[in-house]
Amino acid sequence: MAKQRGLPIEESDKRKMNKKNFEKLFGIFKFAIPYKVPFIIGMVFCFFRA
Amino acid sequence: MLLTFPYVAGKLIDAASGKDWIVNDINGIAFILIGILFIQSIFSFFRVWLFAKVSEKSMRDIRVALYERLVRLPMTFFDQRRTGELISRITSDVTMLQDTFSITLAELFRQIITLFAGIIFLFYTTPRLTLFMLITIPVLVVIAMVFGKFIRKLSKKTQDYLAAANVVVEETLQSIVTVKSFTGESYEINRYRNKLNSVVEVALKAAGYRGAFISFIIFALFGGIVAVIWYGATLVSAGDMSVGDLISFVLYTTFIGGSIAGLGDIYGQVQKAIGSSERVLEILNETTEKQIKGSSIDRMKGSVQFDQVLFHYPTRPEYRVLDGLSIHAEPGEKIALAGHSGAGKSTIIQLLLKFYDVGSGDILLDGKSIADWDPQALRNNIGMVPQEVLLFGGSIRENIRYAKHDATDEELLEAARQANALEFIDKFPEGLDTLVGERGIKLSGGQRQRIAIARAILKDPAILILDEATSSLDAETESLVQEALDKLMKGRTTIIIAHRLSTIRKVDRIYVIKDGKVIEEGNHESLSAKEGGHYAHLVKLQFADDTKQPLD
Repeated sequence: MAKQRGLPIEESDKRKMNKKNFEKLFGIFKFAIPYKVPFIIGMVFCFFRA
Repeated sequence: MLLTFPYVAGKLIDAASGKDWIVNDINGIAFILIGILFIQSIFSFFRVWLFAKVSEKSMRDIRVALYERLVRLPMTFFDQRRTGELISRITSDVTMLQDTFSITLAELFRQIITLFAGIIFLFYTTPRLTLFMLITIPVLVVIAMVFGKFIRKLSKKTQDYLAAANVVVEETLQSIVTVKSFTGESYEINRYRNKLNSVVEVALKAAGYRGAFISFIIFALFGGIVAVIWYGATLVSAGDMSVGDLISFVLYTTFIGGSIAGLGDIYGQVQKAIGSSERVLEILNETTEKQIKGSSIDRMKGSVQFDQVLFHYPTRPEYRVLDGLSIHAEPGEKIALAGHSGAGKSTIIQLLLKFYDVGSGDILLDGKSIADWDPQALRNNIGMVPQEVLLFGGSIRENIRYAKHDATDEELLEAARQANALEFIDKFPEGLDTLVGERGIKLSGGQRQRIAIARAILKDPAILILDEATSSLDAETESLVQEALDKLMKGRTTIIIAHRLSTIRKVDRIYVIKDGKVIEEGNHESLSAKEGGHYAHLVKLQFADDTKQPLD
């Protein structure tokens, strides 16, 4: 039974990877725009780490 | 950095067997390896820290945006959704997105670089062995992934069957009185046994596949690795490859295999993140309550008029709750709504608070249509004391101040005094700073009522709604609460919803509501005296109940 304080994410909550769905995901990424500088630097570190 | 490690490690082995490189000393190469690990650890630290900074801050912004949107959404939105589902948006879905920002994205980036850079590097250094590896290992890894997914599905099925069996236990224990009174023990035991048999059947099937999977991993996957090493060893023995290169190759292959397997998990994570973003955006794109500019005034006079109001809830369009209802109250008047449960009394209040739009007809407040009132300006002028008061889990001070955030301590104490709340607040060692517990559970019903009255006094509304405010209290508390309510009602338009007709004797006018319509109207005396009247009938019923009660 679902808990009142929030439901866990199930397998059925998955969505297919397609252009339309990726646009939705990137829609959320707009919240990271104010923090783009640390994000880009983080990606650079990620690249060099690999 | 990570990809240079196998290469240098190979060179360390070659240096041991006397092969030349830019550094020939074993210790020197070991230092290079340690240097690589050191630089890699620094990069990893900053990568984790920077991504955490971005994800924590952006998730805070998403949560605030979601919460801000949620609390501003119209009531119709909440009617159609469960609370648990909405809390999930802010908890589970945002956490999923946070993982995507901080872990999944970095991992995806890293695995792709490892995969492609690793393969390119291997093709450049050991093309024949790489080709041999690429036609064996990735195929086996993909088969293992598909097989693994199938087994996970079977495990999930086992869990579902077990959950279904647990429901039997839960139901039985919750209804143990019914089970025993119907002598249903044997039936329930059989039901549970049958459910568990299904669990065993599915679990054994899953175990069979799991066993086959482990055998496959041991034989095929490790067999594949052995085949690659064997082919490498033949190249070493033929002098086409050094031992160090073979070691490098094996390490690179391990990295590449890990990346392929990791990408499978990342694929699932991204799919979940898309689902989460879809649900979060769904709320962020919802339309909030309409704000109407220019309708905010400091204080309403308090005239209320319902004019031929028709209404049905959006979730139940087939059921008309109000059916041409007309009532009115002049500023400062006290009116009461009487009638059975489901007559439409609470709906009248919800419409007055503009929780829903009127179907047809109109509600006029100070002569202006409710459609032209800004919801916030309107609600600022309405105070409410409900039957069941739910307080916030802070202090008494915080709860009273909820009505007026900039109220001074003097104003708070005066409101508490007028609400007859000061007498019990003063008895608490912490006074106004006493914590009321979750939903105000540490206070009694009467104490919570008086906090709600103090809150309403502090709000100083033009219109006051009393929703069966004293119906659940004992006689002594009721008298204290009633006295506080009498003070609160002075000079305000008051609408009282009461089942207990004794509490509405003094009001200016009583509207008797039935099936969403006013069927009778007048004061207590005139309605009680009406032969065959609905109100007179209710009074008689209540009188009978009141006389019966002491006997009960």
